[in-house]
Order: sequence, then C-alpha cells, then structure tokens
Amino acid sequence: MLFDQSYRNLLRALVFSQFKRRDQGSLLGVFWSVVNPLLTLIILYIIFQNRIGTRVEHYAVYLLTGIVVYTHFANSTSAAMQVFRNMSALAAETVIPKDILVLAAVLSRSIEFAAACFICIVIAALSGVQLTGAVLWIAALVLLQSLFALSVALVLSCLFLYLRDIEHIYQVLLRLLFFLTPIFYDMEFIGDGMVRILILMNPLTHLTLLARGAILGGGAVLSELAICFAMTAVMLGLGLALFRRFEPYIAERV
Amino acid sequence: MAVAIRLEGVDKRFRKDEGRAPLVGILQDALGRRRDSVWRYSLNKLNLEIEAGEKVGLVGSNGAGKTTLLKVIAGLYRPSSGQVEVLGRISYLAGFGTGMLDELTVEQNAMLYAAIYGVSREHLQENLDEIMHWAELEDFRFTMFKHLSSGMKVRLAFSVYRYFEGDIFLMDEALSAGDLKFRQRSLEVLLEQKNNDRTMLIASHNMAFLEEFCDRAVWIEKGRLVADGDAREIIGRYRAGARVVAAPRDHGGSAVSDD
Repeated sequence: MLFDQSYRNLLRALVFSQFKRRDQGSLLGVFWSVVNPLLTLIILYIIFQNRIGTRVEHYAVYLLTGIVVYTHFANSTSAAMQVFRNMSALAAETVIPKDILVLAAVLSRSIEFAAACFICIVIAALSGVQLTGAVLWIAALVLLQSLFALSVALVLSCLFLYLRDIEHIYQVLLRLLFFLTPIFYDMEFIGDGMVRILILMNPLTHLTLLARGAILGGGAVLSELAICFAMTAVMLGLGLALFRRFEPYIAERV
Repeated sequence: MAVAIRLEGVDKRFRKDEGRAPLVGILQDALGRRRDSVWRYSLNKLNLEIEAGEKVGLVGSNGAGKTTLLKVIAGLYRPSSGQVEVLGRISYLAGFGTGMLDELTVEQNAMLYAAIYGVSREHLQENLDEIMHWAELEDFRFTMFKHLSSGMKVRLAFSVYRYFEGDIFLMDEALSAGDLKFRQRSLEVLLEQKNNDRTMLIASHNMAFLEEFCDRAVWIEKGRLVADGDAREIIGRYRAGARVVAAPRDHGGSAVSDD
C-alpha cells in the first residue's frame, strides 16, 4: 500500500492536516510536543533527584528518554484511537483505505517523536554523556516504536467503534503503564517479585531500555532491539489482521 | 457493453435498536438469540445491472434507500446478503466537499480533496491556478476553509472534481447547493460529460437535470426496485406521483442467502 502513489499522496495530505489540526489556536502549536516532556522532566527531576537520582548517572537525561518514549506512545495511540470519530466524514463518506487515517495520526506524532529523540541526544551530549556509535540505534527505536504504536492504534480504533468506553479505560491503562515503565526509577529500585515481572512484560519497558541503551550506553542494546523487533512484529500481525476484519464495517459504525 | 455494476439479491439491514446497551446486543449476537424483527431493511433483495458508460438517475422519496444503495456499491457498506460486483475505479461523492477539513486553507483542501479521489499531486499542482480561477477563489487561496461560505466550499470542490479520473461515479444529492450562477456552470460541466465513457449513477431530486442527463432511471422505494427504464418515462411517472402498484419487479432466479 505504501508503494502506491495515490496512497502516499493522501497520506502526506492527512499527516499535514493532523499537524495543522493541533496547531490551531495555540501559541506554541506543535512545539508543545517538546515543551510538555520538558515540563514533565522538571517535575520528576525535582521530586526524585535526591532519591533515585543519586544512584542513576545522568539522571536528567535518563528521565527525559523515558518521558519521550512514553509520551509518544501515549499520545499517538490515544489520538489514533479516535480518528474515525474526529474525521468521521472521511471515515464514513469517502472511499479510501481506512488504515490510512490511523497511520496518518500515528505518523504525525512519530515525526515529533523523531525530533524529540534528536533533542534528547543533543541534551545528552551537552550534559556530558559520552555518546557512542550505539546512538544510531535511535533510528531503529523510532521506526519500531512507531510500528508498535500503529499496531496498538489499529486495535484500539476498531474497539472504539463498538465501545466508546474504551476511551476512558485506555486513559486509566495509560496511567498504569506510566508506573509500569522504568521512566523515573531503574530496575534495581524494583527488587524481585511480581511487579518486576509485570514491568518486564510491558513492551514500553523494552522500548525505553532500547532508547537508554542507545543514548546512555550500557545495557544490552542488541538484546533489547531483538525483543522490541519481535514484539512489534507480533503486534503488527495481530493489529493488521484484526483491522482487516473490522474495516468493512467502519463506515456504518462511525 | 461490459457490465460495470451488478447487484444480485442485495439486502442491507440495520439494527433498529442500535444505540441501546451495546453489551446486550453483543451478548445476543454471541448467543445467536437475535430476532429478525430488530432489523430494518434499507435494501431489500435488490437486483440491478448497470453497463459501463451508462448514465443512470436514481430516484425515490427520502429514506427510500438511495444513499444506502450508493454506499453498498461504493463498498462503504457491506451487503447483509447478496452479491455486489463492481468493475472499475469508483469515485463516490456524498455531496461536493465531503472530506475537506476546516483547519486547512483553501489550497490545502484542494490538495487533500484531490488526494482522496486519487488525482496525482503533479496533475493537481499544474492545474491549481485554473482550479482557483474556475472556483472564483483566487483571492482566498490561503483563507481557512471554515471561513468560506457554503457556496464557496461547493465551488471549490466542484472545481477540483473536474479533474477526477474514476471509471464509475456515484453521486449523492451532490447537485443541490450553490447559487444560480454556479448551478448553471456546474450543470454545463456535467452535461459535457454526458457522452463520455464514464459510468454514472446519480441520486438527486433535481428531476430536470436527471431527465436531461440520464438515459436511464432507477426508482426505488423502501429498499425495493419500483421501476427501471428510460429516464424520461420513469421520472415522468415518479414526478406525477403516479402510484405504481408497489409490487416490486421480480427479477427472479437469484437465490438469496441469509447469513
């Protein structure tokens, strides 16, 4: 589908409109996607620097990578989930492949994500982190996480057609996910037990560890990469299969 | 002539109780306990065959199933039973300008609208000046779409429409907006397309236009075919409100499976 010229043409127009849509009536527009994580960083840094922060090297950069990964996942999936409602005329009244709407919503956030990752790297360099060649793996992270978010969004957007409650349920799940991802703590903080297993089962944990491995070094970047790749492949398969099943009913459910 | 659209025994039904406790509906579905009486049939065992290049008018009172029929052909709705075959690339127009977005400018919307209907970017960009000129929106290129009057919006959409390249055009009440001058200009454009090889199925209440533009008309009521034939004759009957005995024509032969 991506190789079809008219599909790409429409995708470009839709991604652009997603940006414009968020830009409307706000002073900073898309820059909020940078400002917002930085503000979150400040809050978490103030709270935790004297506790967990004393143990973790480059704690500010450590926090920022976690926040950036989480923010992209949370924002892109919750925006894409509602895309059929927010663009109901396109979903119900035009003959286009519907996955393109979900893809455009995720992609517009992924472009910001790529920018945010770049800013992370710059901040890391400025604050004295010794960057290595591993930093190039960030490109793989952006790609894998975008595909992973897309897969989740495909599932959510279908569920959303049948059960609007999912919107609220998902917000709660996202909050839970925030605490089940090592954003402001490290794995030592968790100790052994049930919670540790839950955290390790959380896909976002591995995307976060991959981002940290790439920027801060240490950790097993390649094994995290393999885990991220495997779970993205599985999720994408599931997401696409489910979406294909639901796609014919989208126009009448919107 | 090759067949462009063929419908065989097509049913399209919707739940009457939609919007009430979806959980109950899901459970009923799962248990197979759903009774037939909860269904409202928008299309009822409809048979229709349209050949490539035909210009067909679709008439019927409000709620007759015209939009449902067009959406089933467009593939937006899945028929509940029966078969739909379409040969060629479809452009479905639910009014002119559907899909355009308020937060984009006039020019950006022209690009988006063209992209939805598969017009290539280059082709559109080459002709953007002409499109704006035809739509009389040269001074509004960078205006937000939401600030346009509804007439301007339709003009923009129609101006882009002239560059669409589908094989099959399905139009739903697309001809009812705009001022007199625009109507005249748009009808002129459409009438120029009368003898091209596009297949067109047009649902409209503009009988004068349908009579002039279409060779054939299809009249449906309550999801059933009432009459099908020469445009002038059918529209004449529809217009006169002649109560054709509501026994829908039976094409017979097509087994309707219920799933």
